[in-house]
Amino acid sequence: MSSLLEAAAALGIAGAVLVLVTAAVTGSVRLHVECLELEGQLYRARQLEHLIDRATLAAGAGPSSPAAVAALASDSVALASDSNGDGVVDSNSSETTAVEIRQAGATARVRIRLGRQTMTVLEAAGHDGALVALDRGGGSATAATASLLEVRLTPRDPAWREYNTRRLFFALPARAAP
Amino acid sequence: MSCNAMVRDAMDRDARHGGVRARRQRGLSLLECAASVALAGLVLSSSAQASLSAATIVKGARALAATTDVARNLLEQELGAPCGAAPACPAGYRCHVTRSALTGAADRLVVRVERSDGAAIEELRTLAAPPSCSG
Repeated sequence: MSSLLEAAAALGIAGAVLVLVTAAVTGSVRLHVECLELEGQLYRARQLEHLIDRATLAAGAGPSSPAAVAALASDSVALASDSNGDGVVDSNSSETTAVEIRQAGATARVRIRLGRQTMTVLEAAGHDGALVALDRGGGSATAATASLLEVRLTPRDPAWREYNTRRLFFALPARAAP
Repeated sequence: MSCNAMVRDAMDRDARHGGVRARRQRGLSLLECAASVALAGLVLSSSAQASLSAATIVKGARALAATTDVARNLLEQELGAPCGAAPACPAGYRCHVTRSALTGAADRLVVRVERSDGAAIEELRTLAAPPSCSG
């Protein structure tokens, strides 16, 4: 009888330990996944920032002072510069860089176009993407008055909108008139 | 002593020793059980502490990344739209944007963002041309 009790107790303890070990391993896996997701999110965000910063900082630069914003639409903005100083903005090179937002179903894609090369930098599933250009007063802008760009990714689920809307702002540096 | 008595005596002695042995064994197994439970508890609590520390680090990294994003956005808004209303501070953060004249041609911009729960603080500084907002 006592050995049966001992066996039952041992089984109970072993079961409890196994459950706790399983919970610990599950938690560890979740943590690992979380780390990888965080790393991926930060990498993509920094990559997008870097690519757009590179274009906005150069926009309008060059001896002929080209218009910083060559074209503006609700889903794309083309930034222009005369990087090699030949007086012409080359539309086939990185002198023309566009930021585009394309919606594919429930997924918003932020793309960068360097000349004719396009690459998707950020994909946000379950989000709507928008591109907003603002003037120096914070109002909506035209290509001639744009000085601030906003890439906005809004979750489709209204419950997530308040805290999970991603907004990325990029200032266009003021250029002296030629 | 008769043969029967000798046999009974031997059996009694054996039974007495057997009982002692059984009691000793029971005590030993109880000690072993307690030791293994204590060991398992120690390992589990260490593992739980390690997981908790790792979770705290990841949470902190997330908070810091989000705070940096908020500070960067505020700085860009101040640079790109200096004539508009002060940019809104997102819920859950305390934001301070300070612009002070450094020279006639440059202002110093300081953006300080702090999470309301104190989990992360970020301060970004840059120089900017003084805004000309007339007209």
